[in-house]
Order: sequence, then structure tokens, then C-alpha cells
Amino acid sequence: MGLQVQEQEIVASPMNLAGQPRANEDGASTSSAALLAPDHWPDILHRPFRAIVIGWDRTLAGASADDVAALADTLRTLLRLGVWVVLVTGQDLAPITRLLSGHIPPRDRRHLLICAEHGAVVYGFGGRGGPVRRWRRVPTPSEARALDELAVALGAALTDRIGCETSISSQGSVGRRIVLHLTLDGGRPTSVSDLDRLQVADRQLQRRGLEGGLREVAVLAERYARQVGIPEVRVSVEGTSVVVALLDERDALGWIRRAVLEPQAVTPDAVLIVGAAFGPRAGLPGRDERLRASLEGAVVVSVGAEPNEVPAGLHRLGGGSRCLRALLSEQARRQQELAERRVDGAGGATGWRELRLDTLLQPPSAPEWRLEQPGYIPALEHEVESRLAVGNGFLGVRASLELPTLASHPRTFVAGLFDMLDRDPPIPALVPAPDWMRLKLLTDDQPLAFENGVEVDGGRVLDFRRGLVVSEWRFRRGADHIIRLRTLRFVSLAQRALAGQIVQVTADRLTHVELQALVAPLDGLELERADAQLSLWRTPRLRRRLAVAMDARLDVDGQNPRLPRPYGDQRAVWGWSAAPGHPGTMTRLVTMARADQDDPAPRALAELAQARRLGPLRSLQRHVQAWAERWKVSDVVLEGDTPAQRSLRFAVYHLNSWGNPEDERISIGARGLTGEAYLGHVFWDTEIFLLPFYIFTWPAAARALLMYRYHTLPAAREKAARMGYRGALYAWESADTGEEVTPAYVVGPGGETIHILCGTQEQHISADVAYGVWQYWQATGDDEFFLRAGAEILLETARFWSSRAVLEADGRYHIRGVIGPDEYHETVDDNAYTNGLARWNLARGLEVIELLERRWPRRWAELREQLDLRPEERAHWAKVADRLELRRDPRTGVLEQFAGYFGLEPIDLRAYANRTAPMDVLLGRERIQGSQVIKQADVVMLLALLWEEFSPAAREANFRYYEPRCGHGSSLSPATHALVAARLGDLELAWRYFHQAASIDLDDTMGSAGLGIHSAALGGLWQAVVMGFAGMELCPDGLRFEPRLPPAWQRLQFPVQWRGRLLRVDVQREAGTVTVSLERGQPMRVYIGAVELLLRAGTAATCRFPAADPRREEVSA
Amino acid sequence: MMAAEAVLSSKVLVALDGSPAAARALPLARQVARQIGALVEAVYVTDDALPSPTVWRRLGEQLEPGESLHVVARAGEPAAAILQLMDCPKVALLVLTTSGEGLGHGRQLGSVARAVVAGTTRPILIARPEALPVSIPPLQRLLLPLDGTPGTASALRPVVQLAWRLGAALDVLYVVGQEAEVSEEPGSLPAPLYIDQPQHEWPGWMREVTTRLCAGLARCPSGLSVETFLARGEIGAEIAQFAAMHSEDVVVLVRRSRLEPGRARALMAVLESMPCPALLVGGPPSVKRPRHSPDVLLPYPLLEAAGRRVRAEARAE
Repeated sequence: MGLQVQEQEIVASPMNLAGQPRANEDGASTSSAALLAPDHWPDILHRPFRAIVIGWDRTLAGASADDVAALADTLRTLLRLGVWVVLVTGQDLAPITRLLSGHIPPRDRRHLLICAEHGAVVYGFGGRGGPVRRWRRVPTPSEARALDELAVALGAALTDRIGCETSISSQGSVGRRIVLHLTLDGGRPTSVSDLDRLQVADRQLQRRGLEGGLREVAVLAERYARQVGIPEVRVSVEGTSVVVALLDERDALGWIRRAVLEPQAVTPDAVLIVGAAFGPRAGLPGRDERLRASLEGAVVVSVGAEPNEVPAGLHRLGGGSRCLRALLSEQARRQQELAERRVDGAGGATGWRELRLDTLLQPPSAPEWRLEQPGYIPALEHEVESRLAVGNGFLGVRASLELPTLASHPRTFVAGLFDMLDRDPPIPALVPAPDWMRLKLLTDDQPLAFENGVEVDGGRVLDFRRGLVVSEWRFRRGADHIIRLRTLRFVSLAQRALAGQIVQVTADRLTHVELQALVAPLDGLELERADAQLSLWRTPRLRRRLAVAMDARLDVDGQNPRLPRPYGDQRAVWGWSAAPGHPGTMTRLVTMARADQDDPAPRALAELAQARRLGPLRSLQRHVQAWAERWKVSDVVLEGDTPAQRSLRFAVYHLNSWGNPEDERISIGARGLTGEAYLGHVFWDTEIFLLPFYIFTWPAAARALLMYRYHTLPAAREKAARMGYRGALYAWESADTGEEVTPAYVVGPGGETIHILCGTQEQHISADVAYGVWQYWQATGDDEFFLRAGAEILLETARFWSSRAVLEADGRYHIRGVIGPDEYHETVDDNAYTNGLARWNLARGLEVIELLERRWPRRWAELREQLDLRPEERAHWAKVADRLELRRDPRTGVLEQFAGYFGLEPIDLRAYANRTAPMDVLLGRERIQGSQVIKQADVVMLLALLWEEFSPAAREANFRYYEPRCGHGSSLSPATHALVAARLGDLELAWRYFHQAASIDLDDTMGSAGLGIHSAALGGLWQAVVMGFAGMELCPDGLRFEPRLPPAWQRLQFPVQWRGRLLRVDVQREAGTVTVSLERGQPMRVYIGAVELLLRAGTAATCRFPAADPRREEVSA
Repeated sequence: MMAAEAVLSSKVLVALDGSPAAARALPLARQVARQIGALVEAVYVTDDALPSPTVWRRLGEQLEPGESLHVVARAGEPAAAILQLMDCPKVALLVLTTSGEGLGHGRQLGSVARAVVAGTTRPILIARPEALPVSIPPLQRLLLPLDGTPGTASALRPVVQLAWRLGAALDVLYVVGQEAEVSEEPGSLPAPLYIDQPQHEWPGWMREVTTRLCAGLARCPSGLSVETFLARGEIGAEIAQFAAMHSEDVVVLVRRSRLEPGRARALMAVLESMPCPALLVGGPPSVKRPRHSPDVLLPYPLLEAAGRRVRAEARAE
């Protein structure tokens, strides 16, 4: 054990505090103003502590009565705020209680402890404010005897060694004092300071032959103690006295730590110790070192003069009692702030502790409502990140680990945040936002990570219903030390700029935890500025800006143990000692704002202020509520095929997470906001594969997508003009401006350069956009959209086709040199899909003119003038539509996919059934172009879109001809085949294609989801079910259903919207019935097969299916 | 990790049997050792007789002026002796030729090479003697055929470390075919089955191979140059053809069997026609070792000729 020395006479007892102030040896009266100013203190002293231990006697030495009174008042404030205050004195209890009684009312003494009589006893205060002895060490008779023996032996030894008399007295019941009758300073009574007395005594002892001086006395005491059977004696030297005791302040404070602080989860790092004498004196450790011996890890401050070097690990402020008062005042201020923030941040009266975090962090139990990824498997990480991504149409966040690993690809995408990629020619690409959910976690000063040999179990779950991801990880550090990390992540569907995170850290034994919540930079953005709350970023080339605002709080039993932020970036740091059963819960609100020109920071801060006003709980509740609303109008319920049900929930979940009615300047890229593949570029996928879902479940989001096409109409006109045509030719790939951004070439996997012709030849996209516009208008009756934007798109795209088709010698119009959906065959003539939709587009253009003339003549006049649409052009459209080539085998009715297709090499794809690569890779580009192998539904896609324009025989013939020739080299293909096969009644084939489409993103061995979710495949999956298996068709005056369920599907239910009405469709296989109910809206016509029904709000109609029987079965209110 | 391996793997073992064919491995071993900063140690094992002075002389003649070669000479069953020496953690890899003497038609490995290849999971750089030039240029490109499975990628960690130490680039090659075995291993990254838009899919897939398999699983150091390629056809022939066309210096192959009859067809196909040495890594989890005959203490001959110095040492473990 170490040597303990105590000085005696200098103690400024509370009794003399009422007297005149006097300078003390520690320099209390010479405190400088600078030291009293909190601005000059280390950051750590600004954090609110949960317990404060004060070495009372020495820090108060020399304090005036006013100082002490003010100090007592500050203590009262701290006690009221729940801070534990421990006053340590060598005196008995009475002086302190007399002093404090006038300032601290009884009700505020609950957290006050007094460690008195050099650690012999600890007092607390009862309900009426009276002192209660909480702890006392009573020696056993044998210990008392041993103490006596020790005192006698030590006194005799000292007498023998230094030749002076000694006397022995009791020091309470647990100590003995051996007084050395030395005459200091040449025999004159001493008037020197305490420090001097120690030094003089030390020298005297040395002169008298005790070479080690005071230190040797202590060593002797320890040796004799062991001899008499006291294994750990407490020795102190006080001037000319040596005190040997069974305990001292260390023992009392140790008891306070174990019995009072730890049960309240107050750990040493949440404790502030203030003393005045830590530094060595006469070669002996300072007396106040005993204050921190049992509270290792506490923050220690010395307000004493400390004439010698102070031990490491403490903050030396000086300033005596005035500095102590300033410290306590600062603590009171911090505690007050913390208390106010707790009320504020939790959203009024509701604190996080009332949130039932366990419930929030709990994944849904129903397997069809969740997508679970157990464990951490590096090889799967990219795919897991994509699949479990969360989004709200403005923000998309991959499900990367908060503690990322080498395998992680953490990405948050902000819709519309593009920058130019540094390639020739430059093309725009979505730039990832900084990683706002990044954590750093240290337990017992060791970083917690997935890949440093720590055993981890747990997993992540995507909660479809609530639109969030929860995770739970258990890190095993050593045999019996488990750190539990639970997280929740969401991007708000109710406030699109907002992302939220909850992190809960629990340890199964006392563990020091440091948690950092930071906004980590990623490649692609330059940082303009950052502070704890806000960071401002800029794309290097386009100079677009992104502001990220953050508010993060930690709650450990109502405390926020925030540490200073040493990094100067956007980061919050907390440190605390995590006791078992006392989790630390961090909540983080992050808002983002994007701006092309102005400063987005005010918007981000305003969004953050809004979220803070609500608090994390209400923000999360609003988000969950918004998802509940989405599910109410979009959920597809499937009974009998659990994998299919899960696939559908997965599809509907992601589709809902990409819609955004609030921004009509952006659209949905090929991978949504789940991955950076496809650079955020927009294709025909949006209108043909995604839009139907939004049209029938979320018309506002559908409208925003089409308005994007309206806003990019100028770029489409420009592209058409550049290529020598009129009207609007939409970009095959577009970003935010609508300009063509298709890369001109790519280096293929064989090292060869592949020239990409889609940007110039794949022109069917203009008709696809027109098709989407028409479908939307037909399904919603949104005339305002039609008049403002839709009609113009339809007219301009029709005009494009009229200029694109060329009248040739055969008297037919031809469209040559295009690429259809089947991209294996480039520069083909009269592609069936292109020509078929072009003809349809021209017909709709003519219909629009007629409608405008008839119903909205003023708007027609405006448009006619604006577009310079002359009567002869209208006639030309009709002529082109009438004579546009669509090759057909007269014998079979099969459309020829393009001119010359029938003459190409037939290849039996059954021989390639087990292939592991697309057919164009296996056959090579040259051979595939000379073959009948097609990449994806082309004529079959035309069937799906223009179903009513084909006879049943033609539908069957074309599908049976092209289906075996399709290599499905595109993820868009299987779902379209499922849809058409279902409509044709080939349910087994349709079911196979459905599962093929579903596996694209959900299969663990395809590796295809790592770069992002295939948005079009998911939109196609929804269409395959609703428009294929349920057979939904859009009619001019209502909706038609013709369900055909595969054998495994027992029941299919889904909602759809049509012109302001909400319907629910319920198909039951066993009963052979289909029930359609109209939940809201005006009466409408519904066709079930050949049965025509008129539904009113609140009524349901049930028919038998297949609808061969035209009898009306039942209409019930 | 890398520093530790660099320290531990400070030796390149080359197997010699006195035949001119086997001796052609020596320049290759020397080149590897030079590039990774290791020493060459030759292991000379014969079935029955101790090395004759002629053998020593012949060895000495193959050294460069001023070069010193440490030779461990052993008598006994050659494969067992070689395998035992390979257990030393300081051995970065073993270099040997497919056979010391000529191989019959259809045979890709001599008996010793076959036993060694089947008996260890440590890296072996093996070459057909006739495919080795007299002077070996620096090894700058390693061809790494991948099947996209995490297991294979993880087995390549020693290879990428070696490539990094060699200062060589990695060319990752996928071979796809009409009838290919589909791995059921979760997390596999096979060649893409859907190429929606090649201008985006190929760069994305190649990046995914690099980041997921190479950086994530094989732990490629960031400074290592990695390019990804895809070829179609029969796997063994395609690897050999690709290696020839792209002037690869080494083809890396992952052992999946103990070369039992009917197994390792791709490996054998590559070995049969490979234009460059093959680096064999990984292997089945438990490997049956041939028994090593007791060591024979040999004399300690020292041969010096024309400034070349062969120092042999007898070892009895």
C-alpha cells in the first residue's frame, strides 16, 4: 500500500469560516480572474457531472462567510437538480450541518452525503432532513488490540531511532495517533505554515538519524502493521503526528461508489472531484489524493496552490474557494440546461424513457412484414445494404452498418444531387451524401468493430410496415463481457428532409463507453464548412450544395454525458460508464437540404428546428403513421404462397419508398435511391414499369413523375431538333435536366469497347412517356394535369413520330434505324414495339386535338399557337398512323419484331437453360445480332400495353412465338412475361416467371442486388399480380378485373384508386369469387369479366370467376 | 498483418532432384525471391542416394556469379520431405516443375509434384519446364480466375499478399459457359445474368468484383491494381488462352480437391496447356500427408566454383 500523509493544523474548519478571511497556504486568496472564467477551463469541465466530491476542509480554507454562503446556495441548486454532492471532512458532522442548515432546506438534502472523521463515517440525510449515519466501520476487538499494539510498537521504534518522546492517543475508534515530541524550529513554538511544518519535521527526523524522514515513518508503520496482523493499514503523517488507522477517506468513498453511485448508474467518469492538495509535500503524496483513489476515472480538479508538481490526470486551476464556487456555478448552469433540454428534446412532457424503446426497437414478428438478415456476412453485405434500404423519395439510405467494415458501402442518396463524372464526355451522376448515421464506439477504450476478431451475433431487420430498419448486435468481448448494440433507422415519410436514428448501448457489466455520432465525408462532395450542428457540402463540378443539419442526444438515466468535441467536425461525443441494466440511448435527427444556386443551410436548419420541436418520438410516430397510410392504399395481400407474399411486400415497400409527390423536378432512377449503379439516371422503366403502381395507388406521386417529363420537354424538343426531327424525343437516359446523358461507349468485360447506340436509336421512350401520360389521365381524370402538361407531351411526342416516319416507295411509312426494347438487335427497321406505340401515340395525339377542340377550346387555341400546330400537320399524323408499317405474318398473325427478323438464325434456348450469363455474352455480339434470340419482351411488351388492340388469337400466337425466343437478358423481362402469361391463362408459366422476377433482388446467389434494387423489376412484379393475375384493365368508364390465380394462391387482396375512388379487390380461389368494394368516391362502373357492376361508396360486389358466368351474383351495401 | 507475413515468409523453397528439368525452377524461384525480398532455399531430395559431386557441380553452374544458394539435402521420400520443409512459416511458397523427367501423354504432373500438390494447402508455384524461359523476367501480371464464390475469394488472401509483395497487377477472370456449375454459396457474385444496360452494368459489376471479392474478401491492399475480365468457353482452355493473349506471368488456381481421379479437371486442363507458371493456393481442409522417412545426416559439402557458392546443410529435425 502507498504511503499516506496528512497535515493537521492548517485545516480551515467550518467553525472558523465565519471569522475573518485569511490567506491560506494554497493561495486561495490569490486566485486570478482568468482561472475563474469557465472559458479558460478545459472542455471536460463543462460537461454536467452526476456527482461532485469536494475535499471540504482544504478547499474552503480561507473562504469568507459570504463565499461559503454563496457556495452553499449553489450546492442547493445542484442538489435540487439531482446531482449527488459528497463533502469530505476530517471533522465530525456538526460543523458542516450548522453551516449548511440555513441554505439547504431539508427536502433538498436527499442527494447530500458527508464523509466525516477522516473517512470513519458517512452520513446521509433522511426524509425530514436530519442526518442519518449511512456507513461506519467498527473495529473488532482483535483489530482494536492490533491497533494498540501497532501504535505502541511504532512509538517505541521511533523513540529508539530518533531519541524523542512519543505519546499515543485514539483517533476515533479506528485509528491511533502517535505524537512525536519534537521541537521544531530550534525549540520555539511553531508558527510556520503547515507545509513548512511538514518540511521542518521531515528535516528534523533526518537529522536525528531517520534518513528517510517522514516517508520512512510511514514505511515503518506499514511494516509493524503487517507484523501485528493488520494487512492494510492507513498511515498518515500530520505535522509531528503519525496516524495509523484501519481506514480513511478512500474506504468511505469506496463505499459511496458501491452503495450509492453505482446503483444509480453514476460511474466514476460522471464524478467531479475538487480538492486543494493533490501534489506531493515533503516527498509525500498530497492529502487529497485519497479522494480519487476509489473513484478512478473521475475528473479531478485542484483549486489549491499546489507548490509542487501535481500528479498526472488532474486539472490544476488554483483559485481556492472562489474557483470552487465558480466550478459549482458552471455545473449548476449545465445541469439546468440539461434538464431543460430533456424536457424539450423529448417533445414536451414525453421523455425518451417513456418511449418504450424496447417496443420501438423490436422488429415485427410477422415474417411477411419483415425482411431479416441474420448475422454479418461480408460477402452478402452489399446486397443486404440494398435490400434493406430505407427511403422517402427524397432521401435513400442503404442499410449499411453504423460501424462500417471493409465490406460496407454506406450510401445516402439525395434525389437530384448530381455532379458530372470525370469522364469523356462528362456525364452526370448521383453523388452520395455524407454518411450521417456513422458511429464510433469504444468500450473500455477499445474500438468496437465487426472485423477485429470480436465475436458478433445479431442481425438487421427491415420492417416493411413501419418503413424502418432495426438491428441488434451482441459483441462478445472476452468470456463474460457482452456489449449489446441496438439501432433503429428511418427516413421520414412525413418530413422528407428528415432522417432519424436511435442507438442503444448496453453492457452486461460495468463498462466505460465512448460513443461518437458523426457525419462522415464520402467521395464526391467537398466540405465547405462544418460545426457540430451543420455541415455544408458542394459538388466539385456542378457546384450544387447540400446542407446537413444534426441534433444528437444521449440519455443515460436522464443524464447526457456529453464530452468535448475534439475533432472540429460534425460530431457529437459522449462518454459514460455503462452499468448493467442502464442503457445509453442516443437519438439523432438529421435533416438535409439540396440547392442548385442558393444556400441550403437555412432550409436544413429550419427542417431540423421543426423536427426538434416535434421531438424524435413524434417525428418517428408521424413517419410510422405516414407508412400506415401508404400501406392502407397499396398493400397486396396474398394467401397460400408465403415467398410470393414476402416478395410483393418487398416490392410495394420499395415502390412506396421512392415516390415523392413533393418534387416534380426529379424522377426515379433505375435503382431508385438504393445504389449508385445507373448513376441515378432515368429510363423508360419509370413510365412503363413503375408508373402504373403509382397511378393506381399514389396518383400524386405519379403526377410528380410525369411533371418531371413535362419540365424536361424542352430538352426532348432540343434532342429531336438536333437529330433533324420535330416534336419531342425524350432522352434514353436523363438526369435532372432531361438532356441525353447516355454514355457513348463502355469498355466491356473482355476489354473491348462497346459503342452504346441507345442514346440515339432507342426512341420508343417518347411513346412510352406519352403512354404513361395517357394512362395517368385516364385513371385519375386529372384534367388540370392534362391541360397544363399532359396534352402538350402527347402532342409533341406525336409530332416527333410524324416527322420520324418516312414515306417510302411501297406507300408505307417506315421508321428505320432504331433499337426496340430488345437491345440485342441494333439499328433495325420497323421495330414492332416502336412502330406499334408510335402509331398509338399518333392516334392519341389526334384524340387530344379533338378533345381540346371540343372541351377546352381556349386551351386548344393556346397550344395550337404555342406549338404552331397547323391543320395539314394533323392530317399528316392521321396518314402516318394509318400507314405506319407493322409487319405481320398473315398466316399466323405473328408480328415480325423488325424487318428481317423471321429470317435470322433460330437458336434453341433450351440448350442454354443452365447458363450463368446472358445469351449475348455466351454467343457474342455478332452472332446474337444474327439470331432470333431476343433480350427481353418486345412484341410481348406491346401485347401487355395494347392488349385490347390484339385479338385473343393474335395474343396467343405472338406470345407463344416470342416467349421461347427470349433470353431474358434484362431484369425487366420476367415480370412482363408473367403478366402476359397470366392474362393468357398459362398460370404455371406465369407463376414461374413471377418467381424469377422476384428472385432478381432477393436471391442470395445471384449477386445482382449489390449495386441497388432493380426498380423496374419490382414495378413489373406489382403489375404481374394486379394487371396479370387479377387481370385489371383500365376501361374508359371504369376498371375491369378478370382474375386467374395460380394453384398455390388461395386469396389475393389489393386496393386500387380510380378517379378519386378507392376500391378493394378480394379474389378467393377456394370460393371462386371476386369481391370488389368501393370504399370512397362517386359511384363507378366495374367489370368482372363480362359482368358489369355499378358500385356505390360503401358497397361491395361479389362475382364468381372465371367470369364465364355473366350472372350478377351479389351486390351488398 | 502484412508486415508480419513479410517477416515470416522470408524464404522461397525450390524443389530440385538433380534433373535439368527440375533445375529450371531455380531461375523462377530466384526471380520471385528477388521481387518479394526473400532468400531462395533449395531442397534436394532423392529416393535413395545422396547427391553426388556431379549434382553439386551442376547446381553450382546454374547460379549467377556471386550468388549463394542454401541447399537442404535429404534422402528419402521426396514429397514427404518437401512437404515437411514447407511447414516452416518462413516459407512463402514452393517453386517446382511439373516433373523432373518427361511426362507421358495426358499426364500433367509427375508423381512427386502430384503428391506435393495434393498434400498441402500452402502456395505452390508450379511450371511446365518447357514453358519456362531460361531467363525469367519480373512477374508483373497475375491472372486470377474467379468463380465468384466467397470461399474462393477468401482463399486468395495469400495470393493478393504475394501479388502486392511482387509488385504485380491482378487480372481477375470469370469464365462463363453454356453449362456451368451454379454455386449455391450465399454471397456469391457470379457473372451477371441480367445486363439491363451494358454501359452501366459492366462497370458496376466489375467494380463490385473489385470491391466485394477482391477488397472485401481477398483483402486486396488498396495499392494493388486489379482489373476484371470475362471470357466465355471451356474453363481450362479459356484460362490458358487468356493467359497467353494477355501475357500473364502467373496463373493462380485454387485447389478444391486432393487430385483424386476425376477431380480437378479444370486445374489439370490449365496445367496441360498453361503458357506460364501456375500458383496453386487453398485446398481441401484436411490433407493426408505421405509419411516422411527418417532424416539421414549428410556431410556438409562446400563447393565453390567461379565465384558461385553452394552451401548445403544436412538437417535432422
